[in-house]
Amino acid sequence: MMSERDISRGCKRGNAKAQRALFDRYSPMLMAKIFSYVGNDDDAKDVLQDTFIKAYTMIDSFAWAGDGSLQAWLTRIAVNTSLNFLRSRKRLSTFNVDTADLDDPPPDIVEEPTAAEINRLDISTILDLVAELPDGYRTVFNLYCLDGYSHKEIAEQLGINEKSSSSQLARAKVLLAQKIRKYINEHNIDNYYEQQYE
Amino acid sequence: MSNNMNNNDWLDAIKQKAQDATREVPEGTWEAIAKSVGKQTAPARQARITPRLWRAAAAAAVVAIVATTGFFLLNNRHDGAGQHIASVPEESIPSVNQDTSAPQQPDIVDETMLAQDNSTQPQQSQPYLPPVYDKAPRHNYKEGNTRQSTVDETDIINNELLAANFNEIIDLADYPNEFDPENYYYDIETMLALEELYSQYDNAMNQDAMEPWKSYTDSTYQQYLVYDANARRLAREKMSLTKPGKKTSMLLAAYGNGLISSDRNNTVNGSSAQMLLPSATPPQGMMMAPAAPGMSPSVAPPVNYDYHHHMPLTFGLTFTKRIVGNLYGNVGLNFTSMSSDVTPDNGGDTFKQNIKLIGLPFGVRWNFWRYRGLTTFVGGEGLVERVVDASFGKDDVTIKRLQWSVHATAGAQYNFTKHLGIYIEPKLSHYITTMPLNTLRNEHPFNFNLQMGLSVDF
Repeated sequence: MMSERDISRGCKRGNAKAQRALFDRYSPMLMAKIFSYVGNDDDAKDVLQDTFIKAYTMIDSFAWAGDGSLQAWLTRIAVNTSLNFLRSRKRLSTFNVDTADLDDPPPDIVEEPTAAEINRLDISTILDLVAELPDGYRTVFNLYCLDGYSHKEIAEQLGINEKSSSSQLARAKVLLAQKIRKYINEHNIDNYYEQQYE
Repeated sequence: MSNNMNNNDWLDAIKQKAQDATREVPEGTWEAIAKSVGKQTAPARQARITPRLWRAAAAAAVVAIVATTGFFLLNNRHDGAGQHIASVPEESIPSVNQDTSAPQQPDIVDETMLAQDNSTQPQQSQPYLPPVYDKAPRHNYKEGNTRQSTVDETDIINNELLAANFNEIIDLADYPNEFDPENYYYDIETMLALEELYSQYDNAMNQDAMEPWKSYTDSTYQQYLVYDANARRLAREKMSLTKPGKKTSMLLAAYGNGLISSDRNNTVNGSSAQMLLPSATPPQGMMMAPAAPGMSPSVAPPVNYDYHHHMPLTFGLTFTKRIVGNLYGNVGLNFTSMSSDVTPDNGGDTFKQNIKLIGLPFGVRWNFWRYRGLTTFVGGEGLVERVVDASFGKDDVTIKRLQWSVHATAGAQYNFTKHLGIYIEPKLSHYITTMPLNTLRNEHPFNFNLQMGLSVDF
C-alpha cells in the first residue's frame, strides 16, 4: 500500500498508479464531504470529478508537510470546488444568504439532541439531514461546525458580513436540531436503544 | 435563541462523526476523471494500443537505420575502390585543379593508346584473376586500384595523380607537333621509356584492376614514378631559367598532385603542388626534361593553403527508447554541412571547399532531472558519418572513408507532447578518423559544439 507521500510523489511524476491510488484512498471521504455541501449524490459526483481533476493538474503546487497534509489539501480543494459549484448554480449567493433566508421567520425552537443521541445515529443519516437544510444554512453550518472555519473566514469566503454568517449558523442549528429530533422521534431511536440495553 | 442553543455538545458529536464519514462513490467516476485528465486506466485496453504502435514504429525505424548502415558498409567493402578515399575529377578546374585532359584529349586518344599497348607490348605474366573489370577508360584506371596496396594512403593519392599526369605526358608524346617545341622539353627517349612502362602498367590494369596493382606497386609502377618525378624535377630546374610559354598553360590541368592530401598545418604537400596555379596566374614550370638515370624522385616545395572554416551545421532526427529507469538508448540520422574558404598562398583566388555528410549517431543518455516537459540529461554517443558530397573548388571529390567520432553530451530536452520534443545538446567531441580534405575537424579533433534537433520519444 502506497504511503501518502509516495502517492503525492507519484502524482507529481504523472504516474498512473499513484493517481489511481489517490482516488481510491480519498474519494469516499471526499464524496461524503462534497455531499454535505451540495446536498445530492448526482451533483456530488460531478464535483468529486472536478475535485480530482484539479488535484491532478495542481499537484505540483502541493508541498508535503507530514501525514494528513495531502488529505487536508484535497479537502480544501473539495470545499472550494463545492462552493464554486453552488455559486455556478446560483444556489449560493450573497443576497440569498443575507436577505432571503434571514427574512424567513425563525424556526420554532425545539429541544436540542444530546451528544448521546447523535452518537446513536449513523453519520450518513446525519449528513442526509444536513443536506435537507437550505443551501445558505447548510453552507455556513458545514464551514463552521464541520470544517472549523471562523465567521470571519466564512464571511470572506462567501462575500457576506460576519453577522450574517452568525445568524445563518444559528438558524441552521435550530433547523437541524428540529430535523434530528423529528428523525429520532419517528424512528424511535431512544426506545430502540433502551430496548437494546434492557 | 434559547439557552439550549449554547450547548454545542451535539454539534461536536456531529463534527467528530463527520471526520470519519465516507460515502459510496458512484460507478464510472474514476473512468470519467481519467478520461478528462487524459490518463490511461488499467481496464482501458484501447489505451495500450498506442504504445505498441509506437514500439513497432520505433523498431521499424531502427531496422531501417541499421539496414541502411549495413548497406553503406557492405557496399563500401565490396566496392573495388576499397580504401580509395579520393578521386581526381575528370573535368577541368581552371582555378586550382588541372585535369584538362578531358577537353584536351579526345577519347580516341585513349583508345588508340590502349590498342597500341595491347598489340605491341608483350603481356606481363600475371596470376589468374577474375575479369572484374572490362577495359576501363584510361583516365579511370585509378578506380579500384588501391585496395590491396600496402602504401600509405596519401602516397596512393599522389601516385594516382602522378599516373594521371602521366596520361598527359604520353598524349603529348603522341602529338608533339601540337606544342611549341621551345616550350616542350620532352626527351623522346624518356618519353618512349615512359610509354613502355605505362603500356605495361595500363595493360595489366585493364586485365584486372586489383591484384596487378600490388605487383606493380613494387616494380613497374614504381619505376614509372621514378621516371616521372625525375623528369618533372629537372623540368622545373630548367624552366626556372626559361620564360613561360604562352601555351604551357594547357598543361596546368595535368598536375593535380597534392590536391587531396592535407595535414594539420593547412599545408598541402605534393611533388607538383606548386603547379596548382589559378588560370589567371602564369604557369612557371611546366616543362619536362630528360631524366637522369638513377636519380631519385625529388619533392617539390609545398604550396600552402589558408583555410577559413565556417561553422559546421548539423540537422538530425534522434530516436530515443528507454532501456531501464532513466537510462535511454538513442539512435538517429543527421546531416552535416561543412564549408571552408581556401586561399592558396601563391596568389591564387579563394575558393570554396564544401563537405556534406550523413551520420548515424548511437548512444545512451541518463535523464537526471525532469520538470514537466523539460528534461536534462548527460550521455555518451558514437557517430559514424559518410561523405555524400564533397567539393574542392569546382572539383567534385569522392570520399568513401567513414568518419568515426565519440561525443560526451550534457543537454536539455523540452517535449511539446509526450512523444515529440526538441533538444539542445552541448557536446565535447573527438573525431577519431580524419578526412582527406582539410576540415575543422581535422584541425581540431577535440572540439566543443552545440547541437539542436528534434526528438521522438517512445
